[in-house]
Amino acid sequence: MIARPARVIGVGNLQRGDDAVGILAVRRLRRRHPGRFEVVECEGEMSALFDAWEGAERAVVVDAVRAGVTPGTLHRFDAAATRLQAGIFVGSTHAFGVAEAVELARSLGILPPALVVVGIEVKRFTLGAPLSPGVAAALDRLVERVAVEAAPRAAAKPHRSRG
Amino acid sequence: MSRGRSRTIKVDVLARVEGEGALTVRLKGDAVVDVQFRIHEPPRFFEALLRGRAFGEAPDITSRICGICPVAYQMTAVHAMEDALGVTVDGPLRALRRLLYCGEWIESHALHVTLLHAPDFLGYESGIAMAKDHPEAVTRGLQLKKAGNELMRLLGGREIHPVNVRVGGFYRVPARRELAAIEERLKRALDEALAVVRWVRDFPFPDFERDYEFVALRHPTEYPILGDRLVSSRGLDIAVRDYDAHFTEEHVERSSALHSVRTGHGAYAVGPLARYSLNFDRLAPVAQQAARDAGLGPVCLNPFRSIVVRAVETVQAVDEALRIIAAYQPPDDDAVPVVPCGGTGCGCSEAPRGILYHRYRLAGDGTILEAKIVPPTSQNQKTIEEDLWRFVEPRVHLGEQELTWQCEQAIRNYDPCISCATHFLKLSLERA
Repeated sequence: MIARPARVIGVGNLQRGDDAVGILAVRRLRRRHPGRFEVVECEGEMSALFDAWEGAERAVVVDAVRAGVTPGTLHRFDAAATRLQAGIFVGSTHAFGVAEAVELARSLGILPPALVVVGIEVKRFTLGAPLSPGVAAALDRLVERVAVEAAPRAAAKPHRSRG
Repeated sequence: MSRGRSRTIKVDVLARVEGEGALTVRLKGDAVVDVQFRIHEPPRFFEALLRGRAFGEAPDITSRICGICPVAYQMTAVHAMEDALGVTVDGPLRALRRLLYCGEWIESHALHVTLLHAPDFLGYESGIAMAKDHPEAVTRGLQLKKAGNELMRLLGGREIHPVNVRVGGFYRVPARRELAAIEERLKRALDEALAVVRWVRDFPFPDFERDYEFVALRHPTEYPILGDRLVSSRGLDIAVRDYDAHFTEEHVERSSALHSVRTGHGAYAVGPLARYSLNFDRLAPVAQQAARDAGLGPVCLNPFRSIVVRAVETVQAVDEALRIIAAYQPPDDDAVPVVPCGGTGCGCSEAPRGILYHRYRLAGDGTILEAKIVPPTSQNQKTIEEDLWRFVEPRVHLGEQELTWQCEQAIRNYDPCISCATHFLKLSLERA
């Protein structure tokens, strides 16, 4: 079986300061590695996330996280294996962030067999503001981390969880 | 509870409402002494952002205010601009706008009814918890929502922040066959929507009614989505362009939002309950029948039953979409010509949560000099607080947890679009 890269889903809101980072990261990934990854941009709306990972054996979601550590810190969550903590992911437009979407999909049995969430600690969400310095400085590191996570590998062993 | 003892119910982060909001209810003995429902809204930012931009940019800029009702913002903006520029959009172009708007109603109502509001009545802390026990209902709600999203994608170019709408019409109108492609999907959605009404009609509703002043659009023949006249249950009947003469926004100390009042009258309610109660006679037969079967009369004064009204409105939106598609003949042009000129224009449309009002003042070259945006949630905010005053007092005997839960539920009746954007919850976590 030919190893395929994971589908990469950038989540965020371009109007909301650091919340743009998930989208900006996947755009940079696409420019750095033209044609290598299947990239989807998503504003975090729950059913759009479901659509974004539908049919994917492996997916990597990139989102802003607010866990109270230094801005720019990277987080990695194996969402297929462990429950995500609600409330730390900020890329949501309707009270449903990535964590809620993942847990709902898990309840309904529509989670991809392999799903990794790469988060980056963010600082501010000022409307219309650019990335804050710590987040902007970490963007390249985030993009490379996502490239590694999404790199082609032998087919994942499906271990679909039904919660 | 002993007289004189003070209690404070405080909810710093409201679950299952959009955006950031907080609620404080202060009790002294059995009396409510203060209710503060605080919200933070971004429209002021966008009003400032719009100044100096070209009139044609307003639909795209304002559609970014809310990720759930972008079509409402876009449609209200184009109507206000067309009013300012003396342009009339009717026939198939107007029908397509209604069709796009139906998509937004379907997806917004389906989400709120199924995942945000139903858990309150069935005793779950979240839609996720509910999904484990009610997977069919949740899947059905998501399917219905997806049908709405597909309609938005078809007409809007994409489902969030659609980009196909412009002042004067659309950038590209669909061919008949493109619309026909979604017809089968919508026929299924009609069955799903009717099933949702049957699901929610028997939920346990608190015994609570209020004599609201309802405000909604009113159209000669249509259930209101787009329109030129505003009516109220207390006799108001005005042109949309007279909105500012009848409604005032008041600054509230504790909130970045403004409270709207009907000038000289006080709080008023907008949204599904208002639309339904003022326009029952404009519902399609299938939606009227669904309402009757669900035990609703032509007027509904219990805000907790708004979940049933939303379900009925979803039936209405799907049926309306099917009728528009069946009658669709593509227009000769994608848009009517628009020539920039100076002036002031107003627009109003029925967002899923209630009327959204825009007013723009343009310079001679079409540059925006001034923008005013009044979202439905700021219009409902005072009514939400008044609901809580009345709702809490007979329930003060309840335990802290139960009372807090019921207060949150009373707020969720309004599907409040609090910041129309990212919600920020501050929780700690372990790092991976």
